[in-house]
Amino acid sequence: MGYLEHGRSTSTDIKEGARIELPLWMAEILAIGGISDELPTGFITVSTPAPFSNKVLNALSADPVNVDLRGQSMQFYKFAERWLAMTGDDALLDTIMDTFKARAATVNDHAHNTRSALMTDRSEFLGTLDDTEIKLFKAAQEASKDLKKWTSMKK
Amino acid sequence: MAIPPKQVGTFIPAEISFLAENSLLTIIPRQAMESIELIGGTIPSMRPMRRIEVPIWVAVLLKKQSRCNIVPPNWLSEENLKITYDAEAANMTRFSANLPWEWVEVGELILGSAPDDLSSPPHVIRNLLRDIREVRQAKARAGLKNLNDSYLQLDNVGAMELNEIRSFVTMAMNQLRIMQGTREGAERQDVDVEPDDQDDDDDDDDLPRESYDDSMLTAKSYQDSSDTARNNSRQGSEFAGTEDERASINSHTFGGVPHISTQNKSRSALPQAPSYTDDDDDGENEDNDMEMDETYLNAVNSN
Repeated sequence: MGYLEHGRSTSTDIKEGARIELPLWMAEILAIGGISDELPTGFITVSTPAPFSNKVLNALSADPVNVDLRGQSMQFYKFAERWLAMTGDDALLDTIMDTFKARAATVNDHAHNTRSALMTDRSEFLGTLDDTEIKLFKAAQEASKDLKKWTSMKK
Repeated sequence: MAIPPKQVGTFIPAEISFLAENSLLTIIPRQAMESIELIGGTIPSMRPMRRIEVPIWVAVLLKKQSRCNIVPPNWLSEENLKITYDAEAANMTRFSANLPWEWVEVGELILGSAPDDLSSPPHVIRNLLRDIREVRQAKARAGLKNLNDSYLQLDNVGAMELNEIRSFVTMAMNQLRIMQGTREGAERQDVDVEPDDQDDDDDDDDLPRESYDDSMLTAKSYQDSSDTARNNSRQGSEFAGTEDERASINSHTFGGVPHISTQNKSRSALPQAPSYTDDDDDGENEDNDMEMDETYLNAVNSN
C-alpha cells in the first residue's frame, strides 16, 4: 500500500503507526470503513490537518484579517466544512465562523472601495483570500461596479 | 433565454429602476388628454392644471414632450432631505424611515428628467441625495459586520441599497449556514440567533422563531414577487412571448439562497407604498403591468 504515500516507492507497505498524509476523502473512508468488533479504531486514526492546527486557530482568533488563509488551504472553508462534518468540533466551528464573519466584512470593504486609503494594503489582503472569499469579493465588487455604471449613465 | 449567472440571484440597477417606474407620481398636466385604458391600469383623463397621479414612466414621458410638470414628492424637497440627512447622521445604527422604498431610483429619475420642476437647484438636491446615500452606505457596511447564518435585519433600507449588498450577503449567509449545519446534532432551534445585531430591533420579537429556521426567506414577500417581476420584465423587454410562455416562466421560481429580511413596519405609512405585494397567484396583473411597460418602451424607442 506504499503507493498511497506521496513520493514513495510503490513497493514498501506502510507500517503500523506510521504518519502519512492522505486526501480527505480517503482518510474519511479509511477511518470509518474499517471499524468492526476486532478493530474498534478503524484502519487509521486521523490527526488534525495543518490548516486547523492550534497554531493557525490561535492566529485566527487573535486577528482573522491578517492570516494567510490561502496559504493554509486554497479551499479553506470547504475543507473546514468537510472536516467539521467528520469531527463535529464545535469550538473549531465557532472560531471558523468568527473568522469568516470578520473577513467577509473586510472583503466587502475592499470590494466597495476601489480608490481609498485601504488600497495600500489591498493587494496584500486579497492575496490571502481563499476561493470562497474570492467569490464573495467578486460578487460585491460586481454589484458596486454595476451601481456606479448606472449612476453615471443617469447623469 | 438564459439569464447570466450573475443576474440569477440579483438585479442589475437598471432593472430596479425599471421596476420603480411603476410607482405613482403627481403631475400637473399642461394640456387636456383623454384617459388611456391600459391593461395594467387606466391613466386618468387630464385637464390643464388639475393635479393627477400617474406612474412615473408616464410622467417622465409626458415631461419629455413638455405636456406636464412633475410635482416632486415631499421627501425630495431640500428642506426634507436636510432633515433626513440629520436624522441619518444622528443615529448610526438605524436607517431613518423618512425615505420611500424606491428613493434612490425615483430621485435619479426626477433629477434626470425634470430638474426644472424641483423647488431647489438640482445640484443641491443631488448633493443632498449623495450625502444621504453615503451615510446609509456606511451603516449598511457596519451592519454587515454582524452577519449570521440565518437572518439580517435592515429596516427602511431602499431597493437599490438592498440590491447593492444582496449578492454579497446571500453568498456569505449561505456559507455560514452550511458551516453552521455541521454543528454536532445541529438542531435548527439551537442556532444561535445573535441578539447583538446592530440593525436589529424589537421587530424580531414579533416574528415567530420558526421563521428563521430554514434560513430562508425571512423577508415578507419582496423576494417572491421580485422574482416574478423579474421574469416579467425580461419577457417584456426582450422578447414578445405568448401569454402561455409568460405564464410558464412566471411559474418558474429561483433556487433557494438565504434571503435578506427587510421587515419594515412603517413602510405602509409612507406616501409611496411598495408596489411589491404577495401575489404569487395573480401573475395576470403583473403581465398587465408589462403590457403597459412595453407600450412605454416602444414609446421611448420611438423618441
